[in-house]
Amino acid sequence: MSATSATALQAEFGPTTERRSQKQMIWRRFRRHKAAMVGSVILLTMIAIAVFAPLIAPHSPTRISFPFCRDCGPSADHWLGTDSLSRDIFSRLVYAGRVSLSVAFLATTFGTVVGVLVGSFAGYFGGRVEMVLMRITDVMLALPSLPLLLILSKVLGPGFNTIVLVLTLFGWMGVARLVHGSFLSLKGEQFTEAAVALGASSRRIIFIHLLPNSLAPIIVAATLSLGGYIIVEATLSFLGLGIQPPASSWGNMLTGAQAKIFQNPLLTFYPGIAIFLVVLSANFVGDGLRDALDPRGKE
Amino acid sequence: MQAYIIRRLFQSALLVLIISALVFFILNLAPGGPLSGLKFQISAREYSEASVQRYKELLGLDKPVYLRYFYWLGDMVRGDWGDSWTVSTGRPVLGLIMSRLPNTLTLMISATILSLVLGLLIGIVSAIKQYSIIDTAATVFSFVGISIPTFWFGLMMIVLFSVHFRILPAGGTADFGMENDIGNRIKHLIMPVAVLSLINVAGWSRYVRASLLNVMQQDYLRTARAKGLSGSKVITRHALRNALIPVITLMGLEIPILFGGAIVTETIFSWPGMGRLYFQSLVSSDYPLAQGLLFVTAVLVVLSNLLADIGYAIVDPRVRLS
Repeated sequence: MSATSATALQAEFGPTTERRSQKQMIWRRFRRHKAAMVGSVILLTMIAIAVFAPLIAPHSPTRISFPFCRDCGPSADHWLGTDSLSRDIFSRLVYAGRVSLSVAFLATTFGTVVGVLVGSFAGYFGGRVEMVLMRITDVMLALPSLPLLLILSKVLGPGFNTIVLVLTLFGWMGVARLVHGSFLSLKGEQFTEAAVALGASSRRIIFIHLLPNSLAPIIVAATLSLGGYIIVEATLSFLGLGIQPPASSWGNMLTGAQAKIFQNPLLTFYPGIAIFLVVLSANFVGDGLRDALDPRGKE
Repeated sequence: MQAYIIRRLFQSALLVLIISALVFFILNLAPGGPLSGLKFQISAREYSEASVQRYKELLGLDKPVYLRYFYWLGDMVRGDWGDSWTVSTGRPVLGLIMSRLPNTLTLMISATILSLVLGLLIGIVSAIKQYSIIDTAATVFSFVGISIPTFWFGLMMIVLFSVHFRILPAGGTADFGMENDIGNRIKHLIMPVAVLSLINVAGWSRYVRASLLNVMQQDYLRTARAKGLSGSKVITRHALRNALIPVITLMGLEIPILFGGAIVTETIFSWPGMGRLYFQSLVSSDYPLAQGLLFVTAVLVVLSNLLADIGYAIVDPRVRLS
């Protein structure tokens, strides 16, 4: 039976189903995950606030505002009040989001790229390359990462670049393992054998055949790691070994807030709730993506 | 089994060596070197090229770095861990660490027990009552638990229980003069342990749930049910025993995270343990102390991994063969 007549038969007698592309099916499954939808809206809003920070923040995040007002409560001019240096808390929060989200997105990008490279080389080439790369991955995973992150940050001089570097350094292993495993199973598939038989180069096989087929778990892992990076960045900044004042990050705003915890406990609330909301949203989106991208999932 | 343990022991020793070398070279090859903090410690009048040179000779820093690593390792093995530079000037590092170790272990062991009990309980209930209200609540809880920054959760606890309700102390291990009062000590322990446990309870409960759900689909469970065993017996005798095997590995992997958590928790609650000591050593550039603490951490982490692996090999014979 030829393909055209099969389609005709299907049209005449078969159950009528809408034709849907792969993307439409993923979108349909994602939309059904309510928490992921809410998470996407929150995350996109936070990103928009970060991008348009200069338009949204009513004051400078670092300049002392006048009339001088230390630890003042909320007012029409300062929506969330001022901190101990008379700086506008709302503006600091908005700019802090910019810093925290930039760090997290950069670390996610770099970490994923490194993980993909290590995992695909190990998975594709096998043998000694695989043994060395995966052994390094295992050792890195067994290391107590926070103590080492702290000391590296201290030694390299804390700051924006350092924090992106150290987060990348300790964040690529999950993706590497994932890609490695995925490549091992894809290497045995017939389309890979066909590509090899046709004389495709290693680079072509890795980037055109194997990697696109491993994309779904990589995207999920990257999304889920985003929240982790935000938390670690906030922790480092809170401990004074991340983003340095006067620049604000959600983490280092909490350092100042902790000193005033008995006088003005509300100060500890705002930056923390911002971190919590973003991380929770990212984790929900990751969970939604996992369900949506899994082809075995419900239609 | 013996061969397996010996092999794993050898690998563990190697891992400790790798970590110690890593830490040593990070500290010694960094721009400015280990003395970069010196100019803040001594007065400007005293700080000169000559004085830096004198300090270098005094501390043996004028020799090549690879040689120094072996000297350092030899000293560590002999129990000479050097003296603290700034945190507790002149005091031997090993003694200083040992004086803080019990506090950290108290915190970690309490947190591990609490996480284990709660994690198992929540995980088992939500697996047995899948898609029930309890299960949904547990899911929400675990998402919150992994999304909340540990230090902020700690700060919120202080705001709530120390500032607002004034029922729990904000820091320390005991009130002054009440060091021997068990009740007072437990009061001080509640918040740090809760903070340290949260992320593990969130993670482990999900893991136990997934593992148990997976086992409950196996054929041997249908067999157990078919031969007429009661529901609770099927769960406790057949399902749980198999579902909990992977949890052992998980616990081994969580120990490094616990050490990270201890730094944050002890710093927030002014808990005089190794984590806070480590933080202080970093802030005041006390490198011998930082190095010693990282060494202890590495040994404890590797040891716990080893114990988890051996435990796994004992309960699951399949591991030993591969």
